[in-house]
Amino acid sequence: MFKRNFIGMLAVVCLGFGTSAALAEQRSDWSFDGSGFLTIGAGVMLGGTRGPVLDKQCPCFIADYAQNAIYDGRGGLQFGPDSKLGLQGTATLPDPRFSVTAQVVSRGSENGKVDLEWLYGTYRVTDNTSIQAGRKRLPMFYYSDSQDVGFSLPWTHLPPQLYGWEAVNYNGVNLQHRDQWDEWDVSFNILAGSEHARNSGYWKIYNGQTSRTDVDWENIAGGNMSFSRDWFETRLAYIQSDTYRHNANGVWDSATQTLVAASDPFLTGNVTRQKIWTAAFNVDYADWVLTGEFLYIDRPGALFKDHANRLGIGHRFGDWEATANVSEYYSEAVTEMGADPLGQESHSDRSLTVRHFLTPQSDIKLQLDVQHDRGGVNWSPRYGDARLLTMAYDRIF
Amino acid sequence: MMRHILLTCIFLWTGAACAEPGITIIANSNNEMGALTRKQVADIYMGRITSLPNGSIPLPLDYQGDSEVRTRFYQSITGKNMAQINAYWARLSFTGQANPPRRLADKAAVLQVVEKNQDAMGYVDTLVPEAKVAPLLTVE
Repeated sequence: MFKRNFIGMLAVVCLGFGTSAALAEQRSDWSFDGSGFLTIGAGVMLGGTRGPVLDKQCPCFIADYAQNAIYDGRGGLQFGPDSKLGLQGTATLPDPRFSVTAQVVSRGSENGKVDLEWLYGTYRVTDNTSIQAGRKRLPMFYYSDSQDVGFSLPWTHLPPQLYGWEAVNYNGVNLQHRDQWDEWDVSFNILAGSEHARNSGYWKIYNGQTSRTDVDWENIAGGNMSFSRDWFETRLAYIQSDTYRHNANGVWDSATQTLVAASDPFLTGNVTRQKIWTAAFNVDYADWVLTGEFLYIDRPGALFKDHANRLGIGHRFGDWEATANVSEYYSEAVTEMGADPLGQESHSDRSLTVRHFLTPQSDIKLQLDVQHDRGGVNWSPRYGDARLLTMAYDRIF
Repeated sequence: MMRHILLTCIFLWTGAACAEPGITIIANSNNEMGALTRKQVADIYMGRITSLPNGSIPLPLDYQGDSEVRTRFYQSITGKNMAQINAYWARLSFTGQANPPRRLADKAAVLQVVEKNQDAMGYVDTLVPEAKVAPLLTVE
């Protein structure tokens, strides 16, 4: 398996550098544009709560829930969780209103396995309005669309308290429109579709690395809108779906070191209609950047509701940039449904990032994360506190 | 001689005589864009608008690489350096939200397309008199 993945990653690397900068080819009336992004990330665990958690030796820092990307308690540098390589190609048809875009990403967290992240067709109805159909990213958060492109982010990894859920992509259609209202630039996007995540990486974090949980989000509907003017931008999103999870082989039991039958009714086939609300703002004034994001998820009938938020401030010094960020996640126990008020998940992260632009297409970053576990006394799995130092080299081509 | 120039510059407190030459935004001689503001130019080049209030649809042209004129142009209209501009486009272009301006090799290529295409616009550091294009705006 590893060999196949390695060969796949190698092929992507060769293809990526073979195509070189912004490959652009014209064949008759077709045109093709290729580009890519690379992040080589490395992290070292500085300290935290030591001990086994499920089948991991901690301290543990979960860099990306959706991809099961975890820095654990092993010594030395860990290269997997934040490293990735992506290639994107867009073919524009003879009628330039039509185009097809594909993006593949190879992740260190999956030993280089190559995944098709995006594959969609675009039809430009007007200059400001387009319809897209295919596989795309769920636009839950401000950085959702570009979350794999390290060079577009001020961090070595996204704040895990908000980013990274059991589903991050979907198959469906969306209609997007951009316009100007007086001095405001506005954009709207509405979408519908479904997602079927097999052997979810997200649920391995909660159920153990050898567990297998499939996730289905059916009847996804929602949209997002953003308003920007000069140095200010705000974004709102709402997405709803019927959510179904099926655990195939049990969840990891630390006491017996085996998989045992899942007891959570929402891991055994129950369906709930979830409603996701997010809001974000971005102030970019002179050399200061102030950002914030807020999340609330309601799942009627479920035991817990989700809340998350983050606040960041950054300053640019020429080719250098410093960013401080605080983020928090907590689940709200719905006691009338029988939830244990001491069984809620909660954690926070404070990070400090220094970024240096090496060239206009590449940067290096150094980031210190301090994670605190604030879960209730009955919460499990308790990954605990962690202090993590990560470095990243990002490049676009 | 050099000291003379330097002293002149100091006494004129930089001023026009010592400032860097402006960058001229140009369009086809028969363009229908009309006068553009600095913000409109920034919005076009940052992919925020694809059409103008009068209905015309500009085709913005840019340069490959990170030349001095390109760096000065973006610094002037957006206040951002090339790394920030590239990070901005990385966020949009990898996600299908917008496409960056078409990039050409050099000034001659930009002038050639602008002269031929009624919707094309570009920017140049110095505008030669024989160029058959219309200047829209000059930014410092």
